[in-house]
Amino acid sequence: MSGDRRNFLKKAAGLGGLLLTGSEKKAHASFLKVNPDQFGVLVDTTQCVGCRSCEKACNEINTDLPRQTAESFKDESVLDKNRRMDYRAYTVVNRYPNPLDEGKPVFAKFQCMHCLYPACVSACIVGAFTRAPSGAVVYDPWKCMGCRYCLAACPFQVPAYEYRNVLAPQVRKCTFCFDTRLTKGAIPACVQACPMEVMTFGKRNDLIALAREKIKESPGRYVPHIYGEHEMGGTAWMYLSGISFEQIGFPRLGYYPAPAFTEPIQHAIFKWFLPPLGLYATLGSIMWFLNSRKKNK
Amino acid sequence: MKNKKRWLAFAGILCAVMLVVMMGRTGTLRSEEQQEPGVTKKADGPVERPVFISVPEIFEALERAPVLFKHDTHAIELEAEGCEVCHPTRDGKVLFTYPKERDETSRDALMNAFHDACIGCHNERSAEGKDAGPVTCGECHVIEDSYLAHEYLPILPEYYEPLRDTYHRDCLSCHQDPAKAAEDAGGLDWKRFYVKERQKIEDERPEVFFDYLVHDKHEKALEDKCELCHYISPGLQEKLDREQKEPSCQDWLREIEEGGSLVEEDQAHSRCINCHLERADEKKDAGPVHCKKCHTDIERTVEELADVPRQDCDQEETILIQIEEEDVRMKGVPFSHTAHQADTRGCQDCHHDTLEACKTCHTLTGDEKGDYITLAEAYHEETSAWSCIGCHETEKKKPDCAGCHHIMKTGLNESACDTCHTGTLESLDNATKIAPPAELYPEDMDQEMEISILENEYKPAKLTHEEIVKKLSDISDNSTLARHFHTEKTTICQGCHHLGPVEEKKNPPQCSTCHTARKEPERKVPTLLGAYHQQCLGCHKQMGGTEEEMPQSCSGCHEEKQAPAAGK
Repeated sequence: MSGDRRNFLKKAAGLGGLLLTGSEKKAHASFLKVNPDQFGVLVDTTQCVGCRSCEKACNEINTDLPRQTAESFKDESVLDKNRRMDYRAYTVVNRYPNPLDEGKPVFAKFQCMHCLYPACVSACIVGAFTRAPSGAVVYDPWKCMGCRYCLAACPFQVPAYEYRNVLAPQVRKCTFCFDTRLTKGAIPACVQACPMEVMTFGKRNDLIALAREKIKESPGRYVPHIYGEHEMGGTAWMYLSGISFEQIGFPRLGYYPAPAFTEPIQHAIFKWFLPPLGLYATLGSIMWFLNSRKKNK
Repeated sequence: MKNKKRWLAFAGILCAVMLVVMMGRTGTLRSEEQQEPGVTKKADGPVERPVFISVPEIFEALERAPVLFKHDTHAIELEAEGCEVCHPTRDGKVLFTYPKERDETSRDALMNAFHDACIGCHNERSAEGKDAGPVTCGECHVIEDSYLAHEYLPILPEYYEPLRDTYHRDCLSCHQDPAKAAEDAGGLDWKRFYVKERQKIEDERPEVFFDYLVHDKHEKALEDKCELCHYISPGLQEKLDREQKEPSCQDWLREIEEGGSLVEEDQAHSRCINCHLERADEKKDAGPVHCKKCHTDIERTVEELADVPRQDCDQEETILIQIEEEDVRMKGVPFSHTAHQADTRGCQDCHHDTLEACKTCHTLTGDEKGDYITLAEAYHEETSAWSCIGCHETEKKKPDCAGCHHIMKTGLNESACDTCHTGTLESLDNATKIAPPAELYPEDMDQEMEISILENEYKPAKLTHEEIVKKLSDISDNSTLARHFHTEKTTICQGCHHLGPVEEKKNPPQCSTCHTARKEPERKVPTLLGAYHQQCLGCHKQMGGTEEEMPQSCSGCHEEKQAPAAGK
């Protein structure tokens, strides 16, 4: 019976090791510190008229996108179907029916939300995505190996993949005009191009205050919620809307950042190598036990 | 071989189970349309809404699903036998309660009363070989999917709708089950909300809106005999007898308490339907008896009721609304009752269902009768459908007015008091008309202007100033409301030339004075590009004119330059 006791002790030790690793870290991906002075953009969808000047400006400034003519952006029939970002466009504008007023549809612009705790940064196994102190989530094509974990990880389903490019496909998403304008002290191209001034660029904290003021000054114009203030831990691009956000195509998300959920698990799996040891110990002891029974037979 | 077969069998069963589970989750086995519980959509006219039997005051938390009772189907089927088949009668009049012997002493007593009446009748009819309703529990107490959707919703007033989504999103992200969390905290018994929410569904039968047209029909059919619907209380009758006066129309209108107010459901049913039944028996023109003929979805608009004569209850044409107290602080407000009657669908639009003067229930400091809403609040509340300001705000949202008013701050400012509180009835005649706009322009002004300050990809924008001013002046002059509130000749100019001095015959400040071309971080105002487009395009979108009149496309205001912008 001594074999049984030994087995039991081994199992207990293995299990204990596993239990030690179960502690959950509180919500933050510890390697990302949020810069309190980082930038953001506030998008007021009640002003947008769907002219697509932002799409045109984005296409002009990002030369790696396939060239599109200025005429193609005047085509309003494109708005009849809801589009997503793909290899041709970092940003799209969609039209949604307005339940409050049939004749005045609502338009909303989509692009990378530049989260404070980006799931793509966490999911990328080679570190091709990083978050700059200015708040932009930047993609480095030289590191990317095309696994597309970022496409799966993003809660807003933003990154697009160049499936058509056989030899050197890249992941495509809005860069916050990082190389082209932010680093040169200018505001993003879409923000500047908008004739209705739908977007306001500034420090994220200032924009939250501005959004709250707007809601207070025009009661009834906005749904009293700033989308992106807390969603998925907060995003740099925040939205105001006159109708509920689900009705303009925004997913209903919780406030817990994605990496805060996944990283504790991932880090715990190999913590001090105890879980694998525990597993091997358990398996090994089962094998040994069965073996010894066979021998005894 | 045996093992292989077993594995195959196991795999097959697993596949079958997965298939069932997947189909259940995607809902292909459920009906496609999410309808209201039990509502049948028929091709011909109003929808039959079932009666929702749950009697929450007595049954409280239910053990079985509430019964969706199709009243109209029963009424039509049993029409020949009359309402007395199900409903008790008293003094020859039908009482629209159910069942005939309604024992409310306990839950079980009431349940048995319902069961004896309904199931008893169904059993009798099937014994006689006629078409009969169900007798088993589950066929009446049907569980509808949409009940489950309402399971944990607390009762919130309608105006909390937009906040409710936020509440769920914000709270639900941590508390997976806020209702349970509240219950655990010893606060709420969610079952009470559940039951009340179900009652809310019950109350969603559309209200009968007794507008001017319906009243007119009754007046004509009953040959102006007010006493057939309205009562004079014995006390008032004595007073009139003493003073040897005939009852005035106001007396008829107010005294509807004897016998009960027609606004209460049981009174309306017993008095209205009984009268209709009697007249139908006497072969006269009678009103409807079935639910959906009165509880229709039809709500006539003010335009549709324009030609309907309003009731003559000896009301005054113009009134000076004045508080009769010594210490009154504000001057009285002149009010044209006739003009406002023309702009409503029924007396209830302003006077609620009580049909009283405002100050009867809304006292200066608030009273229970008026829901503790003070008199000032009753007149000035921006968001209320019954207050003066609230109704005016709704008018300002109409396309003709929204062009300017959608950007402007809503509600009152300090300078607006004197416009209404003039203290004299004569000021009702002082409605301004915009001077012919040409009189206001400075001598050197062009009528067709070009805005070239931001010229880049597009040619200068054409601004047809005279046409715009003329259009807005016409709208203002044709609206009594606008004429009373656009008190200065230059008020209309302020729609675009806002926040600056506007004087006759003088050029107002330029837009670029405050709206700079480049966004400065501290400035709260839009840049010049944003200002022009929010003002011009915003107005065009709100007013919704034709493309020619109010262009909404880029080239409508400024043509595109053919060559690409220089310097690329």
